[in-house]
Amino acid sequence: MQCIFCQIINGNIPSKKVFEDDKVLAILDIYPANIGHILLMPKKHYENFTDLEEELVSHIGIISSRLSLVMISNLKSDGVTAILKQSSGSPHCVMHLIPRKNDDKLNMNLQGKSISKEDIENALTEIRKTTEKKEVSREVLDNIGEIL
Amino acid sequence: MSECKLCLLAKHSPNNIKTLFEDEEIKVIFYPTIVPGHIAVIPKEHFTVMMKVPEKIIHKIFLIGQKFCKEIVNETKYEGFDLISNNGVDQAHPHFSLHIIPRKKDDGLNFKWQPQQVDDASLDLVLEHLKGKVESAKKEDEASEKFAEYIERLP
Repeated sequence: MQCIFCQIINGNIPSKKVFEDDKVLAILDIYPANIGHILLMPKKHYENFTDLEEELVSHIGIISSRLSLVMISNLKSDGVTAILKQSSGSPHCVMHLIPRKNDDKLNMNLQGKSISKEDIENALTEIRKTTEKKEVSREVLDNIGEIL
Repeated sequence: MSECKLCLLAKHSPNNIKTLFEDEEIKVIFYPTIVPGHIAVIPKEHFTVMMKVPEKIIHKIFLIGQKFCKEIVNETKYEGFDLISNNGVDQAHPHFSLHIIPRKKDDGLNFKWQPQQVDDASLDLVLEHLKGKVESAKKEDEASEKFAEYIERLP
């Protein structure tokens, strides 16, 4: 069966279109995190952001920025959270643009977790193993929390 | 007023922050504030939010961001990632940044939301406020006159 987002793109499932061009479609999420929540997706079927060709990656970034500006100016939101999850099993690559209010109850805060130095060291080693492999010095690990 | 912390990181490379990539316009830093493998892509120039960043820089930030996403998916044990940018709310530093957060099933992170039930008339009203506005939001790198006042109001 065809992916639900492809069915929306093809017009087989009705949607509330905010923006459309030859590469992408933006619709209102009918079950939004906050009202005005937009789903921006490539028209061609891609499950993963990592499979998009470069032109499309750039286009999604630029249209996200433009849509965010429209959301700020026309919905009187205090901000916008852009989030794309390649971790949730979505059948189609989707950028969520969520209009934010200072007092909304969404938690998109990226600060404040306590992370062990061993975990940081392991992650850095793992991420850099295809590039330049370096160990994190003890000094780095001692100071990292103060810098960020 | 003290200088923005991300501007400091963009301009300098303190020994205790790992730079994964940099060129004249952007920098990719290892930014472990929420999970150990957390990475941030930032413009070197100070722009508070995404809507103020010139589109040629957005282009580069997303392309470089995708390269690191690929590396996480293909070369590490993480099971996926979340790409996230907070603009104006939940923003730790007033400097645009695109965060790549590698995910594992049991990592305890929760960027989920409770879907709201919204009636059709309210959605249509919102649609009316948004539809047809995107084309004029930006022309090339310059915001059109129409949006200039909103850009000025942004933090």
